[in-house]
Amino acid sequence: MSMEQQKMNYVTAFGFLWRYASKYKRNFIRFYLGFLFDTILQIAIPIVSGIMVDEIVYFQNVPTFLRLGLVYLVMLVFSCTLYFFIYAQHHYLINIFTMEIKRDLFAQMQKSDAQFLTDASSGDLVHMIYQYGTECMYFMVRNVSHQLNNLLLIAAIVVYLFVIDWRMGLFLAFAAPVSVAVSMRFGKKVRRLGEQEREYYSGYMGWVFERLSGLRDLRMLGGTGAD
Amino acid sequence: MNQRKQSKFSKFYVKHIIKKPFVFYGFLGFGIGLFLYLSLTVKLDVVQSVPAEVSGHQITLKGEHDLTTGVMYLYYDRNDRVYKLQVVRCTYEDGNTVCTVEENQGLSGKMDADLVLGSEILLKRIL
Repeated sequence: MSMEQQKMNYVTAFGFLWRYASKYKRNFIRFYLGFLFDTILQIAIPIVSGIMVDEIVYFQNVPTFLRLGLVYLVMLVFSCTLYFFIYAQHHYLINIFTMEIKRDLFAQMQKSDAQFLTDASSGDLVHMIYQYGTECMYFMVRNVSHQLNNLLLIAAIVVYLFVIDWRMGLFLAFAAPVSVAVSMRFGKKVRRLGEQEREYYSGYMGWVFERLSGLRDLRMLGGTGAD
Repeated sequence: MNQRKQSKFSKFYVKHIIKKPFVFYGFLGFGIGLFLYLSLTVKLDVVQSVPAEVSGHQITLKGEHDLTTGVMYLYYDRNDRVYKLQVVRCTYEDGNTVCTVEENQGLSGKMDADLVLGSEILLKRIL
């Protein structure tokens, strides 16, 4: 049996990962909610700081400025402490969630045919077990949690700008997809370079493993001779 | 000894911070509650900008306005300087509002005025 490679799209990749993620859905929900409230704070904090500037610079209203300062401080402390809870979940998930993927990957590798194991370099296999699981977690973080929150953030900012000036709102509504298109175009190049890096690194790891294995064999042969 | 202590701490951390939802949701609820309380109690002035004509202690504002506080903000350029003036009384003349101020700080001519017409809560301003 060989290691089959199948190209997945966003939905199929999420569907595949959900088999593993569903066991920890409560942790993922907490992780997502943490970032959702952080996104809400990202919208509210600049608005409050803008009002603070108005109150102190234009209206010289010190009591209101101080009260707003307290709100600002509470929001900042809340945001900072929230990061502690978010990353507590993140680190737990990156250990437990990815461990199951790595275990399954290893089990699959053990079932692979001799031809595949002969062709694949040790470095590539080690890199695959170690890095692929972590990449799955990054997919859940970047492509699911952050993407959803960023879409909400863009929608909120577009609505906010529409209220201030419809032209600014319209501009952002067009600029956001253009920016995504540009990022995707450059993203392809980054992914290609990432693949290259993986190839070189796994080659390097393979070389190190083979050297270490050769060294061990030499030591063992030396040991046999001494007996 | 140190390892046992560390292990106790790790068990507590994993149990209460990661696995049990109470600390996380409690903190989230507390933070949201505190933010709502503060944003519902902090009141901000609702300000409207209108053209004004300053002549001595009298300021003529375009249109009829009901000033809720005795304060008016005048400026030529808002980013340069804003003058805070105390209003003594206001009357309506020919569809305009004529206000008398305590001290006009040497201002004269056409300016813009920010009038405090009421107040609103911070949450409303954010939303």
